[in-house]
Amino acid sequence: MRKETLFIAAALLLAASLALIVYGLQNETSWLWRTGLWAILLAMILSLASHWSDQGSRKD
Amino acid sequence: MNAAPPVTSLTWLAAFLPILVLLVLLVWRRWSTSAAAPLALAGAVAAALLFYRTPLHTLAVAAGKGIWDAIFVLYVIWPALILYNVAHEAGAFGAMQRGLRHLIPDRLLVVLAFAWVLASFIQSIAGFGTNLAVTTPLLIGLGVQPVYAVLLPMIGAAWANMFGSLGTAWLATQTVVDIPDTTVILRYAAALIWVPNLMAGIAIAWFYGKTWALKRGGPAIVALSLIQGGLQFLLVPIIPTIGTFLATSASLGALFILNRWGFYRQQDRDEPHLIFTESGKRAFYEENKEREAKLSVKPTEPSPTPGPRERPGMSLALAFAPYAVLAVLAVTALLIPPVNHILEQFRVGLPFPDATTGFGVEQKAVDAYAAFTPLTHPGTLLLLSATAGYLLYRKRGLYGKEDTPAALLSLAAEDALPATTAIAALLLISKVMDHSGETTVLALGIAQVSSPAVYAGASDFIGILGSLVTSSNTASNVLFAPLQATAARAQELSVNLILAAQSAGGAVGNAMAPGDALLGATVAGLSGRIGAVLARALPWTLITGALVSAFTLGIYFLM
Repeated sequence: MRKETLFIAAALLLAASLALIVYGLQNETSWLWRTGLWAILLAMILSLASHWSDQGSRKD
Repeated sequence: MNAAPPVTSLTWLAAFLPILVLLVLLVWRRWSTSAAAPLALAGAVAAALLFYRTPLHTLAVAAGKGIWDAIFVLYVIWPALILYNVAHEAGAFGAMQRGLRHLIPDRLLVVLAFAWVLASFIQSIAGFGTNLAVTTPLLIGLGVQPVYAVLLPMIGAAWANMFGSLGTAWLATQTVVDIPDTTVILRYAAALIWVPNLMAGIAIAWFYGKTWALKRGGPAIVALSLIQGGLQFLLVPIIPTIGTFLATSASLGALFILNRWGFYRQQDRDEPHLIFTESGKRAFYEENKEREAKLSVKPTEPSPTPGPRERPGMSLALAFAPYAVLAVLAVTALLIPPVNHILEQFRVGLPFPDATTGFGVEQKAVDAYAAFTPLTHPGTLLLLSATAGYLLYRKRGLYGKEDTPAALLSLAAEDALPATTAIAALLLISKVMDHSGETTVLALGIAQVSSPAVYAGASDFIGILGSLVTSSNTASNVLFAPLQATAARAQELSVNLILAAQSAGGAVGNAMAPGDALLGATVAGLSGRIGAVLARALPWTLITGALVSAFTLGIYFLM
């Protein structure tokens, strides 16, 4: 996968996670803010994956 | 004081793990920040869950605040990159390079002017990395290698962090700790911060050309440091919010006087080019050749190719136009009280509930966390400057058909996207470490193993650690000033002196702030690889930190 795609997906996930966390905490809806934490985890995995995506494109 | 987790070797090492992971991956393995920071974040979260009894609810509060803080910083990075591309695609940086060399013939003086004087001036009115957003492209336009174009202004403006941004760090410090005598602490802090100020000038010259540059730059460094550090020392105890602004403004004026001095009008064939790119060196020889031709002297070296991208017909004033707009907007929005008052009516902040850990580390609920004022935020000022610059350059026919606004935005996005996740990860680390109590344990660990004299000497390194973790002098003081005050009272040390050392350390630590380094590296096109910048900043930070320690100890023994 292209690293730009990974970064865009990660940025969108982070934006979504902020909304989920703030709304979930405000309304004491634990599944919402927990989903927000999962979204951050996924965003960080995508960001980390860019390291190898980057190396792959340079080899190409 | 807030409760703290137990300080043991295990909890201290667990808290140090995220910092170690980050430094090893960035400096040793040379990973990009967007890849290294998520692993460091994993370390911080693992330590919080396993050793700090941090519930998921508290992690969610920390995560929400961290992402919100990231938006605050990213709103500088994206507009800064847009402004950079607006100027770059019009060929403004090539015009700046040639124009400045005519206006200020001494290249070392120009580097000192950008990396030290201008960077500090910008820092004195607007923080959040704005100084790097402006000076890094200017240094690259001068032919400086990207790594040094980030490093030099980071070191150059570090001293101006404590009383810069119109005294934000000082005002924040006053809100978190009872200060026994504000005049005394301000005097101590301003005296200690003079050390990184002088060391900044020396370091920039050293990187520029070792002993050659120290000899050549010596008079300017002494004069500028006397003005910046001296005026700050005199003014900050009286007017802490604008003392640094006045000191840096005076040093900008002093530059023009130094430039008129014959000492900075001489040419030296042996001038080193350690921090310059190949095209920067060629441009230097070409300009010398032109100058010597005018004086009917044999050229020093032939120059086969021209310098960086430049279109004919661009004057120096036109090249600098967007930055002049930025300066006018910043002064108007931030320094004229009625305008500032109106613009700051509109504030945006997010609500967060209280959060606690199993060890009793508490964070109170807030209605509007880190509320920022979009109309005076540097990001808005940068966007307006970029728009003005684009319209002006477009009107003068300096763009090709392909240079549409969408194309310029796309160029900015290429660099800004990796920085977006990286900044978010860095600020998430900072908030997780703060809300779990890891940061407190790091500082308490140092305090517990120290005698009073050793603690006095180590107190500025706690400030450095705070800036390293949070990328902010303000955040470092908010985080550690209460702890430092408590430790000082327990050790029967002067609270004023220890808080001053904390403040000076917070300023010094900004030379290695990963967030700022990432912003600069992104603008410089280094793809978030900040390891090379941090590796070069580390010796300066340690040496300057040790000197601040020595001065702190000197005051301690004299009291």
